[in-house]
Amino acid sequence: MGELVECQGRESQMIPTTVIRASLSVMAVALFITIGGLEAGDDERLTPRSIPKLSGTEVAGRVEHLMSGINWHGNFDDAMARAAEEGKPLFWLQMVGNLGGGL
Amino acid sequence: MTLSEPKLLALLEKQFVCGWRNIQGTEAYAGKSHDHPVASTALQTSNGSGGRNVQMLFIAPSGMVLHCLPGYWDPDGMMHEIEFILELAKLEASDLPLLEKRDQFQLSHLNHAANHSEQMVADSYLQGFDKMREEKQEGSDFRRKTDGDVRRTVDQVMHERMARRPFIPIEKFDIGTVVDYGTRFYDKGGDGCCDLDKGKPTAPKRMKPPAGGAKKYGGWKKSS
Repeated sequence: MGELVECQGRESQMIPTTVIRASLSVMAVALFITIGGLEAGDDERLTPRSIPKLSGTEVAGRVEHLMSGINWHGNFDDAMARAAEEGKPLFWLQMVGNLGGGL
Repeated sequence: MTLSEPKLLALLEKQFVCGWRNIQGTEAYAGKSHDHPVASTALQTSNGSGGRNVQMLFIAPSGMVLHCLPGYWDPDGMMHEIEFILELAKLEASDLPLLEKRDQFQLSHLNHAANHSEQMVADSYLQGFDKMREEKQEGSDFRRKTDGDVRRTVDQVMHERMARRPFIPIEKFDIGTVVDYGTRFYDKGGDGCCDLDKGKPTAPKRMKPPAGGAKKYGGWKKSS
């Protein structure tokens, strides 16, 4: 058994030093795990998590779906006129490359 | 690959008229990149990456520009922005006087940015080579006002740039200035070398998220 230590500010409450040592050990381990976890987290690159990494075959399939799923206008004035006619906003995509053929 | 997400595709098909064009060699602001064949593996990157290579414009039926999203956007982030854009479209179609609409347009953009989630901000950091370019620009709006560090994110800066262009007709919309950030050459996986004429992009390094990313903000208030 370890010696007893009197706690300041408490009435005759004695705590064994072994309990104190054990508590400190637990706190040290917890602190180590926490700091270690934070460091690992900080080093990780934050990237969008919404979509998984897609293989080339999957990409090609989804591009095909993109091309067939929407009626894409290729002329801005025509698209704008259609938007005015339907009372819908225009989504106008500009890109270096071809929508269905990669960059 | 964001646009082919079923939920986004359905929303675009239902709520918008859609169109596209190839700007390669036709626009001075168009960037450059490696070739990306259609069947190549899709990688993840941060919101706004490759802003000179891809621009997504949202235009009201009257021809007024509602928003511009440059480069890649995560499906969740883009969905969040499109919901906002549909609200702006309602504002634009309302009977309010133009000055009042413009006032609300500005406040809406600033408030939307101020209320972006911490995740959205963290997902919109500048890639290394883009950050290097902005660090050379003394007046870059990617600099924090507090210490001048280039720590601000694309999601925030784009809303601020749009707030300065309230309901501008597409004919007068200076898109080259709006998407002017980062390098002209885009390397989807790199974060180092940025000059197409001088060298090859370096291999990707592991990056830390922006320290200034997390924030809580009360929002902008209309002055009386």
